[in-house]
Amino acid sequence: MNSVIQERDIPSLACGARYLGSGGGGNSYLLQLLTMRAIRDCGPVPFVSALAMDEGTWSAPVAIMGSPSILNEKILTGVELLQAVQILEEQAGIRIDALMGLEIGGLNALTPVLAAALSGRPLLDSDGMGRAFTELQMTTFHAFGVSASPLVMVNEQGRWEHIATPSNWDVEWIARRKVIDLGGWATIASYPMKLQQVKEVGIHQSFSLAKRLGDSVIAAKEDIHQVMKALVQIFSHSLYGRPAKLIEGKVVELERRITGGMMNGMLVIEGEGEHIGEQLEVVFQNEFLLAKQGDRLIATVPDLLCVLDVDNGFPIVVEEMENHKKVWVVAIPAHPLIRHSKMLQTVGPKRYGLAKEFIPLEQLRQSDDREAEGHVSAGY
Amino acid sequence: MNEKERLQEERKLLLQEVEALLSMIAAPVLVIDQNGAILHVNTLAEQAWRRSQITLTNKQIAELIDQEDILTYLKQGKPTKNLPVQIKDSTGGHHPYRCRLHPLFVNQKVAGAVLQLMKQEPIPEQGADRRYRVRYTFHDIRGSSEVLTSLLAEAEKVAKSDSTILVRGESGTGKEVLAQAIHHASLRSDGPFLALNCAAIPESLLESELFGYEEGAFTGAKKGGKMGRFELARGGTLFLDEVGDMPLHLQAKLLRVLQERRIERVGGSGSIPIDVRVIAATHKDLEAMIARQKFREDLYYRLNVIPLVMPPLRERKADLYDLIHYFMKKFSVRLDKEIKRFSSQALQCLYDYHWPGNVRELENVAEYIMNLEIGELVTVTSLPAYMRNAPARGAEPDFPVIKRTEVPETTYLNFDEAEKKLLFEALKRFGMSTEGKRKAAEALGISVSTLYRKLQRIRRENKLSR
Amino acid sequence: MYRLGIDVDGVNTYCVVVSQNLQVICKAQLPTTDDVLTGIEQIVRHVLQHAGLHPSQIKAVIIGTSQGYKALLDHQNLAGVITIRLGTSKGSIPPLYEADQSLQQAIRLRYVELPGGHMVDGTPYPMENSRSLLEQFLRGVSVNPDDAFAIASTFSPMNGDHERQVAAWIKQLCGTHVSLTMSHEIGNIGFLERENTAVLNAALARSMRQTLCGLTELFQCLGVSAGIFLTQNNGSVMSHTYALRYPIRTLCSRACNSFRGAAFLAGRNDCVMVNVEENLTHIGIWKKGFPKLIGVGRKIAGIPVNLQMPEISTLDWGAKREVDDDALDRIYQAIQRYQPRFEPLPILFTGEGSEKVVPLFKYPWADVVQTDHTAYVSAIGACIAPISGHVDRMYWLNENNGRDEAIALAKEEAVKEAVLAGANPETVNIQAIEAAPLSYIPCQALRIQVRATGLIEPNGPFR
Repeated sequence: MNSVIQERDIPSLACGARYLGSGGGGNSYLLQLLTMRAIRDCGPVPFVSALAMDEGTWSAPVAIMGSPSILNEKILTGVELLQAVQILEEQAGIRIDALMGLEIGGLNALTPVLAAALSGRPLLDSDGMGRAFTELQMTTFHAFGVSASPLVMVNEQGRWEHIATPSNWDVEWIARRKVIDLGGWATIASYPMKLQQVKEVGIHQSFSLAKRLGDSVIAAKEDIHQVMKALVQIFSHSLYGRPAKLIEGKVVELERRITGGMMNGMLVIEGEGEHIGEQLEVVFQNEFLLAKQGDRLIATVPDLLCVLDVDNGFPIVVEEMENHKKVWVVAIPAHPLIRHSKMLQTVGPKRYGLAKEFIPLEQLRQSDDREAEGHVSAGY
Repeated sequence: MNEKERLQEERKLLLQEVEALLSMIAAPVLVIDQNGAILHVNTLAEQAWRRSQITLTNKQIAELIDQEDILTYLKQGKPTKNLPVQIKDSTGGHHPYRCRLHPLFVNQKVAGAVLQLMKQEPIPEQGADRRYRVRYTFHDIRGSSEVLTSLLAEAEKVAKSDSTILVRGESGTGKEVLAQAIHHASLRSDGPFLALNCAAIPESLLESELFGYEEGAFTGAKKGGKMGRFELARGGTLFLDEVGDMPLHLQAKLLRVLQERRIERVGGSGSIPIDVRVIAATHKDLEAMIARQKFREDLYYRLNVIPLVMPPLRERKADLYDLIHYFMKKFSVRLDKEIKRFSSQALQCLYDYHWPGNVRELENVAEYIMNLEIGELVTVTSLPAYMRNAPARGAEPDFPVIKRTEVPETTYLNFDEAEKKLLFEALKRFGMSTEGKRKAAEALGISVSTLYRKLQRIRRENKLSR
Repeated sequence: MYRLGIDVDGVNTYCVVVSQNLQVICKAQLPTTDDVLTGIEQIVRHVLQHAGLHPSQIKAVIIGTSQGYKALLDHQNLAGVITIRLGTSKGSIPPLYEADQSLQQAIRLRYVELPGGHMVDGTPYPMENSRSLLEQFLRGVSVNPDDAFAIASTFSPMNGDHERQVAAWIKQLCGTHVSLTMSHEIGNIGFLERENTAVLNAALARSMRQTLCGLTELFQCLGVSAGIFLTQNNGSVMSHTYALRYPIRTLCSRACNSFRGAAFLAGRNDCVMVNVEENLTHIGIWKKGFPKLIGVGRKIAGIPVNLQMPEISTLDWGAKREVDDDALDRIYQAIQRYQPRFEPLPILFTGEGSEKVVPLFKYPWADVVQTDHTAYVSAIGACIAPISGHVDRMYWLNENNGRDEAIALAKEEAVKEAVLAGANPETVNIQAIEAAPLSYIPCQALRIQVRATGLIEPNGPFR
C-alpha cells in the first residue's frame, strides 16, 4: 500500500487484521464485499501517514459496534457510516477531513476503508487499539486524555443516537445499551481529534502492518509452518515484537457462555508433538486474554494471543472455536503504546480480574528453557 | 466370547497401551524387528525424520540411521546406552543423536529392538570461532521505505555470490551491520567474519594487521609470527571499513592481493593463498579522491564489483518514526522505564532535522530521551539543543507532505553562471555524497565524470580567484 | 420386495437390485445418455429382465446423481429466478453478487427489496405496503411460467412468518403451481449465504421438475409403482416431493453414496474412508452411518452458500501416479484430521487405486481394510441409504422457553422433516443433537441442530 488503497489490497488487509484480533474482532465477508465494491465505484482510497498531515486537520475514528453475527444477518449498506460522520460533524461543529481506525483487529480494519471510499476522504494509517478490544474506552485515545464525546451511532434504518458525556466509561456504558436498541449493531464515529492530537496519541502504521501481514500470510498458502514464519518475520520487524509459539495440540475442553452480551469462557489445549504432556489453558472474554499452565502465567492481555487452525494457519475466533480442533497457540507482544501504564488501566489483566499485574511476554518467557535467544532466523 | 475373540481383544488393548506409551516418551522412538524393518514409531520420530509413520514403517533401519554398528548390536541383542548416530531425514539432512538400544527377545531369540534417540549436544565451538560470529542478520536492518527495501533485496541477491562488494554511505548508516547481514546470508556463513577499520589503526600497524607478520619481522614481533585478518578470515568474510583511509602504498598491496588471491606476510618470503570474500566500505567520495589521485583507480574497480549504497537517514524519513520508537523500546527495556510519546512539534522537529550522524545518531538521541526525567511526553524543549535549530532541510521525505511549493525566480545570467547555478541547485537538492552526485548528474542530464570535471574546474577557478 | 439403486455419473449409469436381506442380486451398467432418462429406462429394463423380476416387486427406487451440480457449473437448463428480499436496509450487496456473468444471465436474476423481516429478538419489522410494492414489481418484470422465486427475510431462521406470507402472496399473484424457495427452509444464519442458497435452489427447480416428471412417467411405463427417492448431501435419501422443493440438497450426494456403499461392503459403520480414484483421492469420516457435515465457508460455482455438505478432503493425487513417500504422508495427514483422540477408527480403502496403496499402508493401531473395487459402490450406497430429517435453526430463549424446551421443539421439527422426506413415522428416531450459543448477541439465542432418521418401510431391515 503506497499512497492509495486499492480493491486488491482488501483481502490482505482483512486477513492480517484477523491475526491482530487476538481471537475477537469478528469476521464479516459482507463488509469485505462492500468495501471492495465501494472502491470499485468511488475510486481508490487516498492513504496518508498521520505524521505527514497538517496539524489543524480534523479527523475521527470510525467503527462498527455490536454483534458481527447480527451484522451478517441484518445487513449493512455503508451509507450508515457516511451518516455517522456527517452527524458527528454537525454535533461537534467541525469538518472532518480525514478518517482513521478505532480498532485495527478484526472487521473494523475494513470499516474505515469503506467509510473513506464512500466519502472520498483520505484514510490515516492509524488506529487506537493496535488489536481488538471490546469496549470504547479501551483505546490509546482515552488513555492519553482524549474525550470520546461527541459520539454518534447510526443503524441501517437511519436511526441515530448521540452521546456527549465527559466520562468515556459512561460513553461506553450508554453506547452498549443503545446498540441493543438500534437492533444489535451500529456504525460509530467518535473521538473527534485534530491531527496534532492524533500524532501524539494514535498508534501509527496500523493498516500498513495489517496489510503486510495479510500479504505474507496469503503467500504462505495455508501451510501453518510458513504462516508462523510470516508472523515472526512481520511482527519482529514491527514495534510489536517477536511472536512465540506457546503450544501445539488438540482442544480438549471448551467452555463458552454469554453473559451480558460478552462471550466468556476458556479452552484447554493438550499438547502434541514436542509439547507432549503439556497443557495450556486460554481464558477469553470476546478476545483471548490469558494463557497459563496450571498456575503459571504464560501470556496476558494486552499482549496478543492467536489460536491457529493447523489445517490452514488461520486464526480461529472465539465464537468459531470447536472441541477436538488441532491448533497452535501463538503469543505476540503488544505494541509499546498498548503496554503503557495509562493504557493498562483499562486493558490490563487487573481490569479483567485475571491477574494482579501485566508482565510482558518476553519477561514471562525468559524462564522458559525452550526459548532460543537472539535472532529471528533461529526459528520459532 | 470365545478364546480367539478374547485374544483379539487383549491384543487390541496391548496395542492401545503401546501407542499411549510411545506418545508419552519425550524423544523419538523406533521399534524394529530382528531384520531392522521398522514396526512402530512415535510422533517425535515423525518430526525428527519429517515423515509420517506410514512411510517410516515401510523402511529399513539402515535407511534412517547412519551407523554401521546398529545392525550388529541388533542382531546380537546387545543393549547400548549412548551410541552416537546420525539420522538421515527426508530432506537429506543429517542430525546427530545419541541412541539407546533395548533388545527384544522371544523364546531366547532376538525378535527386534526399541531405539530411543536423544539429542546430541552440539560440539562446543573452538574459542577462535566464537569470537568471529556475526550479531546481525538482514532482519536487524529495520525500515520499510522503498529505498531501503530495494537495497536489502539487492544485498540479499548478491550475498550468495563471492564477488567483492563496496558499500557506500555516510557514517552511522549501518555499513557494518549490512556487511554482517550479507555474511550471514552468504554461503560462507559458517565461516568467520572479521572486520578491520582502516581509519582506526595507525598506518604503521595496518599492514601487519591485514597481512600478518613472520617471526622477527620487527622489534616486538611475536614468536611464531601472527596471522593477519586475511588469514584469520579463511573460509569466511573480511570487512574492510573506511577503505578510503588506506594509504596509497597499502592500496597497491591490497590490489595485488585481490588480483592474485595470495598474501605475503610482513617479513615473510612465501605467499599464502587466501579464501575470503571481501566487503569494503567507505563514507568518502572515492571518485573525487581518484581525481585528486588519493585513491587508486584500479583498486577502485576491483572493489566496486558490486556497489551498494546505504541511504542516509534523511533519504528514508518514512522509517524515522519506526526507528526512533524501536530504539526507545530497546532503551525502555534496558533502563526499565516506560516508553515516551512525542508531541506533534517534537515529531516535526525530528523530521526536519537532517541527521548527519544517521541511524547511529538517532539511536543516541533515543537513549538521551529515555534517560531524561521529563514525564511521558517528549516536547521540543526536551530534544537536544542542536536539533531544535535545524539547518536547511535535506532531501524530500518519502511520504506525500502537504505543503506549499516555492516558485523559483528567474534572473539573467551568462551561460557559465547559469550552468554553475544549475549545478549547485542540483547538488543542494540531492546532497554532496557520492550517491547525491550521481543523482544530480542524472537530473542534469550529464555523465558523472562530466559533473566531476565541471566541479574540479569550478574549484580551480575559485582557488585562482582568491 | 426389492429395491433399485441407480447411480448416474457423467460417463455411466449403474443400477443394482438389492433384496430385503441386503443381498445384491443383480447389477448392470450402461453409458449415460444425453437426456439421462433414456439411459435409466434402458438399464432398468435390463436388470428387471436379468434378475427375472416383475416390476411390481420393486418397492423403492433410489437415484443418486450429480446432475444438479453439473447444471449449476454449466448453466444448463436453469430456471429464471426472481428474488424477494425482506429487510430493513436498502442497496447493500445484491443476491448472487459473486456469480459470473453467464450464471447471472442464465437465471436472468431479478430482485426487489421490500420492507419486512425480523429483529434478533423476533420482533417483526412492519411489512408496510410490501404487498402492493411486490405487485408493482411483478408487473414491471416479465415473469415466465417457468421462473422460480426465492424469498429471503432477515432472521427468518428464527421466525419464518414473513417468508411464508410473501410465499402466499406470490401464489395469489402468480398461481399456486409456481415454484418457490423460502430461505429459512434451506439455510441458517448468514443472510447473503442463505439468500444465495435459496436462489440456487430456485434455479434448479425447473430441471428437477422435468427430471422427476420424466422419472415418474418412465417408471409408470415400466410398471414400477414404487416411490422414487433421491439421495441428498447429508447421505440420506429424500422423497420425490421433497426433492422437488430442495433440489440443491442433491448436489454432493454421490460422495456420500460411495462412502455408504463401501462401508456396507466392508461391514463397517464407523471408519475413516479413503476413496482412491484415478486422479483424486477423497478422505472423509463415516460415523454411525453418516458423514461429518459442515455448513460454513462453502462455495458452489464460486458463490458463498449456507448448505450442509459432507466434509471431505480431496488430494490431487490419484491411482495413476506412483505411490511414493510424499503421497503416503499426505494421505496419512488427511486421515489424521478425522481420527478421534483416543482409539483410532479403522481405515477403509476403497476405489480403483486402493489396491496400490494398501500394501504400503502399514498402520498398527487400527484395522486397515480394503473393499474390492466395484464401480457399483455408489449405486449400492444409494440403495441402502436411510431417510433423514435435518433441522438447523436458531431458537430464542426466554423465561418460558428455556434450553430444554427449545431442544424439544427442534426434535419435533426434525421428526416432522423426516416424515415429510418419506419416512414411516413409526420408525423415526433421533440420531444426533448439537446446541451452541450464538456470539455477541446480548440475549440468549441458541443454535440447535437435530437429525432424525427413519425407514421407508414399516418393518424392513433397510436402516
